[in-house]
Amino acid sequence: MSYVNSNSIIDIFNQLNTSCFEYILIRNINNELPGRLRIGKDIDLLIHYSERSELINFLKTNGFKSLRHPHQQDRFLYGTKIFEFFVNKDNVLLDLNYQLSCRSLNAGEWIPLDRKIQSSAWKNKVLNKMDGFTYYSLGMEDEFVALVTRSIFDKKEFQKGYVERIDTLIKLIDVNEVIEKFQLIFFKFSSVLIRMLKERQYKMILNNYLSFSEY
Amino acid sequence: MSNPAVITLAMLNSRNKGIKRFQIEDNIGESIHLHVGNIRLDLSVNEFLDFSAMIRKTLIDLDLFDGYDINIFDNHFLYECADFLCGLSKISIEDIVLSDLKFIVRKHVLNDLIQYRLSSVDNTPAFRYLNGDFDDFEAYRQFNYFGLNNKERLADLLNSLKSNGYPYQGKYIILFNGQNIVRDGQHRAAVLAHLYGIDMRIKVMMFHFNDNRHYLKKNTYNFKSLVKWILKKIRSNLAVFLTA
Repeated sequence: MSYVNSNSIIDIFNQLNTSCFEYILIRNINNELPGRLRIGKDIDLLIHYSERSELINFLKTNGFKSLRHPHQQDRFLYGTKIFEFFVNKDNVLLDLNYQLSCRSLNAGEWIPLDRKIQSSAWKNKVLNKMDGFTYYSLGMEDEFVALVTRSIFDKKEFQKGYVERIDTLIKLIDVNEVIEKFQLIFFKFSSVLIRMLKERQYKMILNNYLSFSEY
Repeated sequence: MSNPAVITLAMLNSRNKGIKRFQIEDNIGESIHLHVGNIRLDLSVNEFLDFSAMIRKTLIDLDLFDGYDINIFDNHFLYECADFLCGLSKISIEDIVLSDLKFIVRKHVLNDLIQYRLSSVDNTPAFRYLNGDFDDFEAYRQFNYFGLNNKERLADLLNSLKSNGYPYQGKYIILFNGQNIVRDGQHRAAVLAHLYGIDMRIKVMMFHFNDNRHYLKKNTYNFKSLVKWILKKIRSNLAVFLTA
């Protein structure tokens, strides 16, 4: 199994950290970064759309080139910006996200999460330092919301890596804050959802959500 | 705030007729939205179920089905043929041999381009699956009620037909006059053919309409789908080009 060179990953994050751009690493499932990221797997970064042009110039200056994104022909609603791929010679593949978004259950269109969640992501971002790897991540509550949302709407299942991270975070998060954010996505299902997550009923969540009728 | 869990329950939009938009959406956890033209009604699940029961009672009172009880018809079938029902003049029960029937089979020519084909019963995905050809049926995209996949649906039907026979509770395979194309009951026909052979003579229910809007124009449908598919591809590639 071939992995992306960890020094290349650390290097690009160091460059981002010293640049003028704000970014957030949206997820690092199974702590793949920096040392265990398989070649071909992408790194999801949240970026301000207002900084897109400058950031692309920055990436190109640092040896990245644009690559066709597998979702670029999907439908993007409510102003969601299309994701963009950039890759360098060391196979560091960056997936630029201009907002936290998820797939609609309707026809898989991409839609942005609520504005309050977008603001919270930037306001509560956290600087992490781990064995020379320094990066900004989502705050715990926002990461929790993003992982659950992605599992339900994009993956349509709770995968092992996601479950492990959710299990870790659920002991640390401010539950009331999460419920408040869940209500912007899951509405009246929010309290049922948090209970099911606490009880680790991962396999039943999607079915219970789709058949939920107490509203 | 937009709800990612919007499921379109029903949609009868028209560019030409009076009401341009009629759409029912389930916004899970939030409310049921009933769009009629520019008006949107927000209903709770219970309110929507009451409303739906009231509509069903009205349809019974209207006696649209030549004396037959509306409850013997599949809800999804009623929804699919709703546009033709105002022209329904008579329903008859007729004899036909299974091998004389034609079946609409959806073929994915390209990943997201669907074309209709007309098949004999022994070429339907359900019949082929029942006879050991497992290649296509599990992935065959078709409408199923919630919580049921293709295999489970067919297994339930096989058990029901073995136990109860055909027709059960007055539920027949349905055809529309002028074409021997099965409009409802493809799986039942496949199971009957599997159990008793394609030369079995069965009773079917024939809907007679006083116009020909119900005719399946396969080539016209396929051509329109192809044009729409091409336009969609052009639009999405243009969007990508303009964003780059």
